[in-house]
Amino acid sequence: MSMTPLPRGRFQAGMGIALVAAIALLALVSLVWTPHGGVPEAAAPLAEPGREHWLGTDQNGRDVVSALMSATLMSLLLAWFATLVSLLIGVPLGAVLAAQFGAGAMRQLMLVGILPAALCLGAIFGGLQVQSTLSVFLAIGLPSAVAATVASRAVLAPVLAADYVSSARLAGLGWLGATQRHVVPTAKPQLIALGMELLAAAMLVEVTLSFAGLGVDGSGLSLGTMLRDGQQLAQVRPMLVVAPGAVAVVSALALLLAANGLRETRRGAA
Amino acid sequence: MRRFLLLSFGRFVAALFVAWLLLFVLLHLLPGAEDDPLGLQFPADRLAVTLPLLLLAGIVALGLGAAIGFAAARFPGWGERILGGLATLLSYLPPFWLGLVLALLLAGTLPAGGFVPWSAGPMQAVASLLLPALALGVPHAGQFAIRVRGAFGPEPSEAELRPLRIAGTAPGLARWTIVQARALHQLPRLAATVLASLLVGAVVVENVFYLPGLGRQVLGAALAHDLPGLRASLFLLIAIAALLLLIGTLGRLVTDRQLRATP
Repeated sequence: MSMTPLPRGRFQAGMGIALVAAIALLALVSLVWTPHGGVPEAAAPLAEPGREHWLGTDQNGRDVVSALMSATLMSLLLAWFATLVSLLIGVPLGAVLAAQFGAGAMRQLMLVGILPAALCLGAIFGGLQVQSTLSVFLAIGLPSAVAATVASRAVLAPVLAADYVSSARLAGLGWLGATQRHVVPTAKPQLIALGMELLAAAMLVEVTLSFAGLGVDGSGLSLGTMLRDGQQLAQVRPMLVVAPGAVAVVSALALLLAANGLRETRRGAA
Repeated sequence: MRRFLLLSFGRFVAALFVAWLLLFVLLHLLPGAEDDPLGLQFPADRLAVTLPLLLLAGIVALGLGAAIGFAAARFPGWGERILGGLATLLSYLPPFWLGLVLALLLAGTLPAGGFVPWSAGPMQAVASLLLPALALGVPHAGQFAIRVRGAFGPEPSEAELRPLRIAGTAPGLARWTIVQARALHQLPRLAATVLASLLVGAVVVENVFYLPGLGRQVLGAALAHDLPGLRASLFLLIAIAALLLLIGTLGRLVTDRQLRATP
């Protein structure tokens, strides 16, 4: 087994991770610094983009770049927590299923599977007046946990069936011990790639739910609510809808690129 | 074939039952949901918007998606890489955002301000649905392309290729004949999955374009905390999606001769 990764996979992973890190860093910086502070300014609502305000201001006179930085943090955090919880539930469940029943049918369950389910759940939680952040967290987390279970089952099953794992089990190691010691470390790059894909999907689902009014409430708090606020003013200030959506899509695509790169690196190593 | 039919109908009934159980029984037990008439009215006027939108978006998604997916399978190597990248890019564009951007770009060309009723003229009604159908259809075209490409499966083995090669078929054509047959069997089910996903996606897109369809009713009821309305409209949405999936699954009977031949 050669450990030299394919250059293309490593390049992709590097590009993707660098882009995601840059976006996450800008979002985190918003906690301590934004170009114009987080407070709405009294001056000039809907100002044109220029040297003072790079992307202009919104209807409340808030600098769009500053708002974007804070909103990205909110969207990323929500998506991150929902993905983390779905992985914590999905990966052990997937491991149990893989150990008991084998690989199962691998299905493309990412955004395609998560978004419709999340919209239906979001509508139900919205109707039931569940607290907004919890509602969006559950609406993303529940379908993501199912997707994580199915995908990690398919990832873990071939490793569980490998000869060296069978030998370890014959030598007296339980399946839980074998999974911990041999399976998870081998499948780690693929599980990280899975997490990145889920995070990409979660980010777009959060934006969609918040835009529809089923997610985060409050003006301009997340990328979705920024889009919701900007919708009425799109014809006057296109940046109010183009910029938040572009940040969400670029973040998701960067995560996908990193996930693909990691998978190819792994394939090259195998 | 009987087993296949039983399984398909069984899944359809099970999906409806689970949806009914979740929406009507469990939600009825929750606090705040006591005043429930359990009524299911049939919103024909809403469906007169949503179903044509689904049809138009379906044409965009299935047509464009099948073209990209088939081309990617036909031209392995760089062609597949580029087309695969394009399909991924399209599939990760949120339909509502694409709708907002398209409305900006095509503001003068296509109407983007609400639905023109069918009574005012079928052409105007269809025209008012074109932009929403594009916004909804293009991302789903990406998803369909990825699924279609997946349906072609791995490269055919020597054993699969041999009979065709002996018959004198060129290597490239032999490979194509085998993988194409594999994909065709799965096409109806994949198309139905994408149509079902389109239907649920319409919830948000109808809202962007102010279309008075079923999706807007779901969202309106959710935002107004109108639980009976939400249950009825969401159940109808899920029922139509399940029906689409059933039709797609049964579509395999048309494309798969072997399945038809089994008892």
